[in-house]
Amino acid sequence: MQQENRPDLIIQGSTNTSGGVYNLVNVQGFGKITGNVECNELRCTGHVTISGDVLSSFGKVEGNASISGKVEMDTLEVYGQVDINGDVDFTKLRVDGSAKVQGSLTGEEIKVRGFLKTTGDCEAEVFHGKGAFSIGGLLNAGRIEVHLHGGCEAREIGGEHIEVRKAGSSTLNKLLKHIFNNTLSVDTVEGDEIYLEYTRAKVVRGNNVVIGPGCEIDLVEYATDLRYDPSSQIKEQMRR
Amino acid sequence: MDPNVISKKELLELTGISYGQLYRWKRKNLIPEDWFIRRATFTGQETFFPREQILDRIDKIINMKDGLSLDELADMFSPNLAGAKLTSVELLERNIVSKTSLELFVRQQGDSETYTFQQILYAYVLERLLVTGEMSLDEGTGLLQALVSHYPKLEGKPCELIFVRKMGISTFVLVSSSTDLYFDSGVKVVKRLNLALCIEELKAKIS
Repeated sequence: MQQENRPDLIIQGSTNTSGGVYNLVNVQGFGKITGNVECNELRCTGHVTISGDVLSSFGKVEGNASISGKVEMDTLEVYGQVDINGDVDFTKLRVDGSAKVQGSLTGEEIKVRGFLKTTGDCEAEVFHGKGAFSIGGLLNAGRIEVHLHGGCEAREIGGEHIEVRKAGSSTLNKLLKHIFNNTLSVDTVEGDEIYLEYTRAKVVRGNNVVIGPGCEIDLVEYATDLRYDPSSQIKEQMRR
Repeated sequence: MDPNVISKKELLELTGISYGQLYRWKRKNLIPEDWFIRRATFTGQETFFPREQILDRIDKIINMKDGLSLDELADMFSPNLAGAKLTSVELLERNIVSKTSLELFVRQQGDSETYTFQQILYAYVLERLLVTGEMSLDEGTGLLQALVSHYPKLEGKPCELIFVRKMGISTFVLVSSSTDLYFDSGVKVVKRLNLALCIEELKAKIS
C-alpha cells in the first residue's frame, strides 16, 4: 500500500463516514465508520463505532470504541473502553481502561491495569496483569505475572513461568479488599515454574510448584518440588 | 480408552518435554489447534492428542529445533504452501522427482522454466505413487488431473488423497481432514496419502 496519498480522517462533531485507507484517523466527536479501516494511526478521544475490520500500526483509545470486525495492530493502548467483536492480533497491548473482546487475543506483550475480557484464548510471550481479567479460553504465555487487584478468572492457564501474587497492602487495597473479592479462579494451571497466591483451582500441574497463602486447590501434580503455605488447602497432591 | 489418542500427561512422560515447552510450541503454531482434544474425565477436563501425529511432530521438533528457529519450524509445519520456486534441473538434482515422473508431469502440465511449490507438490505426489509401483503411468494422468482441478479448493487445509481401485478401474479422491470413509467390498484402497505430511517432507527437501 502506498504510504503517500493517504489522507487523514478527522471526526469532530457527529459524522457518518465510510472506511478506507488513511494516514491518521482521529475521532474527537461522535463517529460512525462503515467498512474496513486501514490506517497508520488510530486515535479516539470521543466515541467511535466501526463496522468492519481495523488494520493499523498504532491505536490509542481514550474514549469509547466499538469495532465489529477483527483488529490487527502493532500497538494498541486502551485508556477508555473498547469492544471488539473479533480476534485481535497485536505486538503490544496495554489495557488501562476496559477491553472486551469476543474472540481471541494473539500477540507478544500484554499489560493489563484495567479490565480485560475475552471469550476466546489469549496468547502472548509476556502477560502482566495488574488489574482484573476474565479469559474464556486458555491464557498461554511464556511469562505470566499477575497481581490480583480484582477478580480474575480464566478457564486454563499454561506457560513456562506463572506467578500470581496478591496486590500490595496499601490502605486503599485494604479498604477495597472487603468490597472486592481479589482472587483468581481457574480450572487448570500448567507450567514449569508456578507460584500461586489466593487462587482457587481444580488442578495445578508443574515441575516446581509453590502454593502461597489463601489458595484452595483440589489436585496438585508436581515433578520436582512442591512447597505450600499451611493456610492453603490442597485436597490431593501427587508426584509424577 | 481410545488407543488412537494420548493424554497430555502421558505425552509429557513419554517425550520428556515440559508443560512450558508444549505451551510455547502451541503458541508458535508448531502444534495445530485442532489436535487439542478436550474430553471430560473423572478428574475433570483433560486434553488429549492424536497419538501418532503428535508423537511424530514432537520427535521432529526436538530433532530439528537446534538447527532451525521455532518460526522456521512453524513455516515448515504449516499446511500453507511455501513460496519456493525450483527449475526442473533442481527438481531432479534434489531427488524430489525422478525423470519419468517429471516427463509425465511436463507432458500433462506443460514445460516451464520454474515450478511453483504447488506444481512441485503435484509432481512429488505423482512421484511417491509411481515409485512404489502402486500406480501406473496412465493412472498418473488421472491423479494430476484430480490434483490440479481440486487441490486449490482445499489449499491450506489438512487433506488426504485416497487412491482406490475397483475391477482395474482407478479413482482418486481428495478429502479434507481425516474423515471416515467406507467402500464396498470390491474396492481396494491402494494408498492413502496425507498431503499435509507430503508438504512437510517436501519443505524439508527444498530448504
